[in-house]
Amino acid sequence: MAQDILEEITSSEYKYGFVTDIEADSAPKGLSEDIVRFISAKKNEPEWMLEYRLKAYRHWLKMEEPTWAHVQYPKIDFQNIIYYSAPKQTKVLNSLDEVDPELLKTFEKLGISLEEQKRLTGVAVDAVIDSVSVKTTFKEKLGELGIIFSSFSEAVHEHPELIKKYMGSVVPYTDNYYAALNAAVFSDGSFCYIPKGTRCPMELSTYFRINSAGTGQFERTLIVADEGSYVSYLEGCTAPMRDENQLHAAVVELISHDNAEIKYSTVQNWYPGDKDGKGGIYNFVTKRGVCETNAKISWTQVETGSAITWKYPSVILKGDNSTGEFYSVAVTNNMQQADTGTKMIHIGKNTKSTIISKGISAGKSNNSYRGLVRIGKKAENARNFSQCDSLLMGDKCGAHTFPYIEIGNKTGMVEHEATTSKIGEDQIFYCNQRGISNEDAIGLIVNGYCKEVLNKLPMEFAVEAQKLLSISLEGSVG
Amino acid sequence: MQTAEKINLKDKFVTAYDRFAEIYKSNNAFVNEQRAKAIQRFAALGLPTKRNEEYKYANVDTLLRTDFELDYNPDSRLDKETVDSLFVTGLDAHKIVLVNGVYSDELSDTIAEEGITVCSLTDAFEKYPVTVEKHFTNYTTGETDGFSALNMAFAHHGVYIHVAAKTVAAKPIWVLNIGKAKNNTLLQSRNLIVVERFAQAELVSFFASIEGENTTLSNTVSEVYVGHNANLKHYRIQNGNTNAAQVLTSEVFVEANANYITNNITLSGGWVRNNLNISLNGAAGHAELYGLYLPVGKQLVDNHTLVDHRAPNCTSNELYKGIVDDEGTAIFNGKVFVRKDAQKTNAYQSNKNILLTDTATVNTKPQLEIYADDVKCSHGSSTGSLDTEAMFYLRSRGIDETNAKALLMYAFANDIINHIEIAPLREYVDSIISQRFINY
Repeated sequence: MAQDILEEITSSEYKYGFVTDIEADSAPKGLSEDIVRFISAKKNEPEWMLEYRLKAYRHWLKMEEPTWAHVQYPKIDFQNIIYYSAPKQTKVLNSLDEVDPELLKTFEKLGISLEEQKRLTGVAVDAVIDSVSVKTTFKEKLGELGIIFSSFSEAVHEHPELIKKYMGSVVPYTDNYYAALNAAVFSDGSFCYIPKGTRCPMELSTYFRINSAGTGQFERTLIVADEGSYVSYLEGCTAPMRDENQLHAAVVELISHDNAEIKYSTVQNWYPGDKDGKGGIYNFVTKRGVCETNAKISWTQVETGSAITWKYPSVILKGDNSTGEFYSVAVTNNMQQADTGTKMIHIGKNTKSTIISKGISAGKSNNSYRGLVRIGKKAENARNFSQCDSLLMGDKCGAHTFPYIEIGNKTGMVEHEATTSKIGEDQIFYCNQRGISNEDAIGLIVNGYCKEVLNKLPMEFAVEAQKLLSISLEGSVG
Repeated sequence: MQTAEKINLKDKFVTAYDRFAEIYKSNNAFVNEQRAKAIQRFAALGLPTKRNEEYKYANVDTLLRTDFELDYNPDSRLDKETVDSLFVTGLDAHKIVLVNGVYSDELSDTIAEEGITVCSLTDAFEKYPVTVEKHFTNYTTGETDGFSALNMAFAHHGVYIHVAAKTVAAKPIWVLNIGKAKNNTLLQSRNLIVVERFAQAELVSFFASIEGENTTLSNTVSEVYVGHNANLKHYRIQNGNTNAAQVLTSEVFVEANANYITNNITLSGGWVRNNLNISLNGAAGHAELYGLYLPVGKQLVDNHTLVDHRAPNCTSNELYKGIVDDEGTAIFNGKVFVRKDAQKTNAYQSNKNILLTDTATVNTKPQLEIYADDVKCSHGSSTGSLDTEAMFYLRSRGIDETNAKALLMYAFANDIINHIEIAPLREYVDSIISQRFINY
């Protein structure tokens, strides 16, 4: 019985695996200073931007690929990747009618009809295909409030002072191997600035899609919430099914000034590869935020895709009384590998952080939680609570927990709890005898298990996330 | 600069090996062969640095800046009065004495009890080649730890304890390790403890240092074998001086239906690193690990534990607690590893710490690595200061601050001390720590 159902999960298909036939404008394969210059020239960038890229590139050359994560994959050939690929369409778009119909179809298939979103849900969307932002909706309406929400390359031209001030301030190019690579070759992304005292009236959202073969996606997101402002930001991602592995190395920087709050939600559904582990996206992402006094940053993520996930959305609690939160559901199936978690760096006084991580592993996958909680010497009355639960389905998968806890102040209170188990036979039995089928019972239990995290997602995403969970774990009996 | 010095230490030890191997060539070819392999491993590994994940927090770089001399033939003379003064009063036990890691025939009891054999490791190489070849080096993971490989390469001194099948030891076996080395000395000792099937024993490894505050580093490796249905209770009490550094590695191999219960109490020591690796190799094996560490001053205590569940239906329970004062540092790194076939595993791990000052540091890393699905594994870790509400309650009952604090700390530590089943030993530890808590 369990065997059949496990097979069923492993055979459930990735429904976003289509390729859109859009003509793309690509750089030749490989990475060199010329390619960095090429990308910069393509984007018509000012001199300071190019210099920044080159500095990052030269630093990257000196770095070594990290190997400490609990994941295994063949060495990446960085010369076999196309670092720039844009849908071939350069003229300025004024309305959705002018967007390539093929592109619109893509978004419809993804379930994010830009038009509909525009009219009904009131979500402002920035869609990024192969690392170039193609369409940002609701720009004008946001503009009235002084909110800047645009593609990164537009922002480089229109708001260079903001970009210069904030870019690399949280994740410098020297931070890690992939952050350096990203800083050198990033092609686009989203930029968002919320002015003082403004509450962003709608959810801001970016959809990322890798479309062309052999490309890597390197986008950069920068969100600045000025004093007393609030913004909720959503990020979603998909990719076509391909036999090769594609690299996604993004950088996300959040800056939450005094009394501001940023809520960042991700539903990550990159193509995970087929059931033998062929193909799929390598998702190596650096995400980090800084909180100033009384500020708050909350990361929520639902990770179901990618062949390999390697990301640790972090919060630096620099200001006094600031708060960091991390809510995560990570599902791995087949040959997927995930090494994900968070870092909470307490520097200010009375800082608080909460970590709730739920891992579910099925098939032959490996799912690890790796997190750091550091209470600095001056972080008086800092408080952390962490809970990391793992659920195992099948006897070929693995679930691991690697928490690092460093405490340097006696007033700190740090608690960490973790459990690993399978779905209890008694729980299933209880549901069965109430007339609930095995399938539904699993659904019920898994949903209950993840509820703490799913509840934190904005409405639009919660629905999608629940669907994703049920697809990933269709009919699994532990 | 640092690295240059470290290379020196490594080269120095590698060079010293040739002479050692010549002088102490064993008549047992197996031993010679294992030593030769180990020095090669050591040459490849070197001594750990802080870049080594397993030594990340241990500040091993500072320690190894001392230019240690490896003394493989240390002075092991000691007068009987000093030795007697170190024994716990009222404890009836088989007394074994090791001075500077060297087994002392004169100072140790001659054991008349049937089924219990104790001799120096060197003698065992020749007298009991079958047992030695079956167990010796079989449980070490020298491949990954430089200290462990170094120990094996110079394996010579130490004690061999054998409890024959179906023997129930009448008295605990008390192994007193006394350090009295010269300044800047590295001492190594290696123990082999074999408890055969259906046997039962209690073992106390007690570490003390005398003669001033010399900077010494002792690197001890014990291999412990617990045969099927056997039962071993193992207590380790560390009470070294504040300049004494110690690497204490225990590799424990537990067979089916066997029990291994261990209690590790670090009362004092300058820099203490304990590696406790337990493999549950047969079905329904059981391990309990308790630990208490109380670093004060600038002491550092680093406990690394690994419980490797290799077989189904095994259970393990781990509880480590620490109270850190002054500029002390406590490190806990516990790993529960559940292999593919180890279904129905039940593993629990908990680490709790109290920080008394702002200059004290706790780094804890409880880990789970699980490859079987039908398991119940959980871990918890909490760190904080003394509970203010509990303090208030006690104060409101008229107990002064010092006593209230001592009472709370005592209650905290008692969870571990209570697991010491040898009454005189428990009372000994109890009296030392209650005295200390009053003075905090």
